[in-house]
Amino acid sequence: MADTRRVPLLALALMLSGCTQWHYNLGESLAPEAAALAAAPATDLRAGDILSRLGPPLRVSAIPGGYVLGWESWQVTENVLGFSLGALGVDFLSIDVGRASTRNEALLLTFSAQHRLVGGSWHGRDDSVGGGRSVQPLVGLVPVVDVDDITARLPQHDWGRGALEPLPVGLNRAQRPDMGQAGVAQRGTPTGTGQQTLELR
Amino acid sequence: MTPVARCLVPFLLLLVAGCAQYENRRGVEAGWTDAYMQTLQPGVTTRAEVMAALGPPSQVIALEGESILYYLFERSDGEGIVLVLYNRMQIDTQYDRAIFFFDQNGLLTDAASRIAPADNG
Repeated sequence: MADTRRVPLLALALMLSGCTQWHYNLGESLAPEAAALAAAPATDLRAGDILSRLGPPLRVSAIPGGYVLGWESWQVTENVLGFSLGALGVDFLSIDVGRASTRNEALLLTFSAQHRLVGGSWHGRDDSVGGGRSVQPLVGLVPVVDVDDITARLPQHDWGRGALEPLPVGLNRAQRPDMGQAGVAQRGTPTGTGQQTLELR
Repeated sequence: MTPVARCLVPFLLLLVAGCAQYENRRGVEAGWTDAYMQTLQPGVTTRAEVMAALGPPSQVIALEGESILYYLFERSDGEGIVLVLYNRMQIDTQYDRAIFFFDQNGLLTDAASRIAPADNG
């Protein structure tokens, strides 16, 4: 094939595909001592000592006999690759392939009513959080990757919005794990089971 | 379309590049500076004084007879390039926050704060 034909052909092939990357950094990485605090909780440690080492938590909730404090950090990467089938004579179809992955650190410490550390749990891991493939008309209308539940704003901002929520959600507010009285939940926790089941989402 | 025009189309497309930038701010304005935190005195500073200085908190948590005031200011900065063939967005979110514990009498027992650096790198 003559060079004069290869160039536009290559360029045309490039035009038929596209790649989109999204990177989210949610919060700072946890202090190196976070894992050690969870692995060997010492009851002589007070909440004030922990707070001076790790800073304020992102999640707080009262529990019977005390309270829990939670810290978390997320890095989310979303990759989507799209192709058009126009070169094959199928102008009305596009193919999309996507995948998302996360790097997540989480630390949950339990304190007694006397503000003493009584337990903890930590994890730091890389996860694939899903992906998909699609063949759609003209353009990709349905997203093949969804990380909205992970990248959502923290629930503390929703403080005064409760009265405007749908009735099942409002009635269940006392049981929600983000109100400070009924436990805590990490980002990305499914709402179809557990404390938010009754919200009928 | 002439062969020359066909060659030019992809290169013109490459020139149609764009960029995007946005910022998002949510929550309570971060008044919990180091200078303010140093004025706090456990056993002396009251809940009313903290709320008078910082305003209504993001969250109030009732412990058994005690209480917690939690303040959060969330900052997201995003920037990206749009090259049609390759598009990239990066969003960095930082959480400025402060937490205050008060006893049954409304007196401060513990406090901590954090204002994240402006640039996460």
